[in-house]
Amino acid sequence: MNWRCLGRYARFASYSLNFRATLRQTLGDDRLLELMKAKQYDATRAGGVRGVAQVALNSLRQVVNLLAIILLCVMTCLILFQILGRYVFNYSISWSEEAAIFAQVWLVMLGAGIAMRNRNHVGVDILIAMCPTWIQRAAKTASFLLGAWLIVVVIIGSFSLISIGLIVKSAAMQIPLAIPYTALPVGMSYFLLEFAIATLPEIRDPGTDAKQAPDIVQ
Amino acid sequence: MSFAFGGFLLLVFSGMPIVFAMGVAALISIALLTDVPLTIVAQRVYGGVNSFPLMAIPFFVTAGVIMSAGGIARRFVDLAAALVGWITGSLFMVCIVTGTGLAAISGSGSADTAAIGSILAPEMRRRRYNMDLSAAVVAATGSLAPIIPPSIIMVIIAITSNLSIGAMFLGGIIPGFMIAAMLALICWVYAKRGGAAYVDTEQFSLSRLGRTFLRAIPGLTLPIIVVGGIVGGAFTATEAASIALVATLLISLFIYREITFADLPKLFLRSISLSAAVLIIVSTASIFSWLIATLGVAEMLDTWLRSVTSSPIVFLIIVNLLLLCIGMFMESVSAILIVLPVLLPIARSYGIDPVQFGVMAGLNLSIGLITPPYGICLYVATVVFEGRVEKVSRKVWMPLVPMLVVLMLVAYAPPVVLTLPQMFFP
Repeated sequence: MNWRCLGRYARFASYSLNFRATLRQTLGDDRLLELMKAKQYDATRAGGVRGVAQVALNSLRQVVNLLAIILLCVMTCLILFQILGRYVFNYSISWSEEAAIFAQVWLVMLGAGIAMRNRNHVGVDILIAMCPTWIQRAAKTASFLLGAWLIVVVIIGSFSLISIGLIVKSAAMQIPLAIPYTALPVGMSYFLLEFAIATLPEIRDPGTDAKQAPDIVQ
Repeated sequence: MSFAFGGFLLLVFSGMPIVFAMGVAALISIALLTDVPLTIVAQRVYGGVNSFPLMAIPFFVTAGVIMSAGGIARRFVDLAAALVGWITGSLFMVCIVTGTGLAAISGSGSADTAAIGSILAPEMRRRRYNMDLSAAVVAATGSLAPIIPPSIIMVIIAITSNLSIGAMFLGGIIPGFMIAAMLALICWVYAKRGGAAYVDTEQFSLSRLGRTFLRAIPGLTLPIIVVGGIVGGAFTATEAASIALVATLLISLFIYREITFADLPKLFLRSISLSAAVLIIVSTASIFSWLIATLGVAEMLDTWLRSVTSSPIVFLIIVNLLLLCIGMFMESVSAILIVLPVLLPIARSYGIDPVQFGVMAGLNLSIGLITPPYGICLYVATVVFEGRVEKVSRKVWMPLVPMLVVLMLVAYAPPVVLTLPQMFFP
């Protein structure tokens, strides 16, 4: 099989599916665009397996972005309806709070990966930056393995939660609790993916992270 | 238990993101020291975000992000310039007044610092102000945000310690305004002695004040709706936060018209990223706090402290020093989540009011926002002013003085904090 050809096909498919620059500008984050401009991760140039992976990753990120934005809007609307219901229509909606909480669970689990992509997860790397390269590399490797262990433990633990949640129903809406619980494996898998993408290059080449500008608006 | 805390510190200083350090330290302790099945980790991570009061945070963060993009901050600067622009060292005064006003809308310090700094820095440079001191003052006004309501930190303190969010918000008002007033005084004295750069020839103009006030009104109504609504019992904090979000959206889109619908996805995404980073820490920290509760750390520390001192005054000194050190090295949200569940029960047993203690902890960590080595407001101000962290750090003692004085008042004069909460929540 010719991977390069497949890469071009996937690229073409992604463009015809409206993943155009305009959409990327409105939905994608600035830093991703910058990186793409720097040709480092340019999906339109990299052929072969890398190209396919990059197109798949970009599409996944767009889907996650879109989902997260929708969830935030849903949360806001639900709470607004709750207030309007209470004060304007004199009718209190019993399920809005619960629905908003479930949306929040999904939002946070998906958002953890988005925050990883934008380097919004804070850490104290002043001390470690002063150490020689091999210590930095060892510390980064250890912290990646331990972090990945935590995420995997959460994912595995969530399966037993989901199997219970298929039977147990939520208090207000009477929907299976598996619906919010599923946010754990889905969101954490994406988190792990972004964690690996963010950390693995640093392990190979320590010090790249320090050069990255912090997001000013925190 | 020292195992979990020690492991956490080791992990943090080896550069691990705090979200993992907190969870991993707890996970190792659970795996090695207890026979609890590891499913508890997933349960706690879910339970950590399965909370309605916590939802105030994404709403407040989104409101803050939209505010700084949507022109509300600039209207506040204009109003402040009309209000105090005629005083010696006017730009310092403008900065402090704006900072206090913005703190009353947004909940996070670094966003305010960035907003004020990026507007005032060019003007301060043009007028030949001392740029390092200016950066320090801007950072300090930004760090008022967690003290003056609404505040994300206060929401988290209230949730972790089962306090009323409204009472915590009210408790921060007087200390916040005291810091702002003292900061203004210090800057005024400095400007009086500072020479020609700080002299202002501009006259106070009532018509200009009225004009800028009219333009700032939409933004000014926000704190009244939010704080008034919560305190008056009309809304919960989460509902008030959602109103703040919708109001900032409407103001920015239709009244000030500085952003369009096309900008919204990007702004939302930024706020999702920022608030998820906070909430996922809350989530992994809840594994840690579960461990603290199960192992009975608070009781152990309590008996130990009792054997050292029985005086609340000494206890408060110890706690303040501890919190100041923590604030210097750690980010506030995770610091609260780790320290408060341990310290608050002890403070209660010493007869200290929990609201007073919570505000004191919040103030300590706000001071940590402007102290090196880990002071996010200081860094943001330095970046905006294009300065150097070492130089700005050398000037930071000036804004630190009022904060430390107010901290002592908060610790040893409870009415400073408690007057307002007791008035509304007797």
